[in-house]
Amino acid sequence: MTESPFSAPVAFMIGPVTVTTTVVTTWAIMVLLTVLALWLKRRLTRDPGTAQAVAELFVDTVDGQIRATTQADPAPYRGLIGMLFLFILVANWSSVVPGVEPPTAYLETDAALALLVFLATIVFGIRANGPAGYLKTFARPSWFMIPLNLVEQITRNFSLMVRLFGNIMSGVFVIGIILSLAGLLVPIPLMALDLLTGAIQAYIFAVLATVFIAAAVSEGASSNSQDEEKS
Amino acid sequence: MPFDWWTFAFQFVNVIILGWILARFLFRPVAGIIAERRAAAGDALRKAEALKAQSQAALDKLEAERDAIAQKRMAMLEEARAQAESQKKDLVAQAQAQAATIVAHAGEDAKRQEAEARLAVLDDARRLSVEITGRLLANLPNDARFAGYARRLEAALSNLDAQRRAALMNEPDALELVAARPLSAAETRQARKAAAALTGDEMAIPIRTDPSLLAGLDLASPHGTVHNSLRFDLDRIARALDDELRGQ
Repeated sequence: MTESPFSAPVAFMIGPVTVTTTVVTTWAIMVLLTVLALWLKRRLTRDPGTAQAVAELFVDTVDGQIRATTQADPAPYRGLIGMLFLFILVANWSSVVPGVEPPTAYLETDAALALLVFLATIVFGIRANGPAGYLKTFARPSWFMIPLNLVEQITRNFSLMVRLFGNIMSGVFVIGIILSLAGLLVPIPLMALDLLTGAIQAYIFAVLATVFIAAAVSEGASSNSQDEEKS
Repeated sequence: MPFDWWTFAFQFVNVIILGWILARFLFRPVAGIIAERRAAAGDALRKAEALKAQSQAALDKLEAERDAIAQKRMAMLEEARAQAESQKKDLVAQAQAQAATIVAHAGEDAKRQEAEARLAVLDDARRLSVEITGRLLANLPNDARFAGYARRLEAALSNLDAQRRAALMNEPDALELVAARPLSAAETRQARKAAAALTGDEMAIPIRTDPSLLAGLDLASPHGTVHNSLRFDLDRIARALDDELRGQ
């Protein structure tokens, strides 16, 4: 029986637990980013070098994006949004390493990321508005919209997951097919395009996550102000 | 489509852990250093502003001091100018006073010199008149040096007051007659007769010759002389002229 191309190869088993290559690649990415973060942390000075300048530019850009979207202090959201962009970007670009398939090309990784965004939306919404305030956001603009809003919470995260999965998986598939058909150098332009696609998808995922969180935070605030106006 | 829940679970945990790691060791320190640099830049800007304000204040103070010094300098110059003007006025006044004094002294000196010159001229004129008179008398007859003077002496003696007369007569033996030339016997008698107007009796009063009299007959005693000569007349005229010149 031929193995499904959508299922990740099993790297090893721990009892009944299967550890796929996707997880191993993710661990490698985690180690890489952790080492990079620790190396950078030790080298932080007031007079920045090139690496620190790039890191500061990245953090400042993420802060600016969050601030522009949420109109709030970016500090509480910086870790999540920055991690999402950085992990997805590195994961997408890991395809350039021979023999490595990007973790985001498998649905489990994208689903985990989408679930994280879903839960983060709820947590930040409750933290900003309280449980009741957050629940009230589902009744906007009227009670009839509660089912639609609930479905929207699921579908928008689902679309977030499927968008990332589809784009990255299709890129890997296209490169694999062309590589099997045309030879060594032909896929290179497509690989470059895949890198661009990977960066764009990382940016889209991070921006959409920011928008979802901002909506959860700001909708509660606006509904509270509307309630105050009615009273 | 297959879905491996173990992989899903691993990946979910992995991204949570990665998020914590990155937040702990990357985003927070980098954001901290950015905030620290921003705060340092703010502090530096504030310090720079404070230094700028301080330097501006110092500059204003310096300008004020410079203005004060300039004003003080102007005041000192004005004071010095006023002092110089005052000193100049004093000096001019002193110079004018000295000049006036010098002019006054010069005028006095000129007057004195003029008076001395006049006196000298008068003295010369007197000597000249004596000389001229002497030469003129030398060309005249001998009688001209005596004629008329015996009667003048007699008249003068007759007009003497009692006090003068007593003084002349205090020592009658010391009386002598002084003539401009040796007298003849007749002239001697005329002379002694004229003297009798004082003595009362015609006495043999000795007669002395003094050519400086030019002409005339004097009666001399230790207590005074009755002048009756041309020389005395000339001297009297000269003294009168002298008094007249001194009175101008």
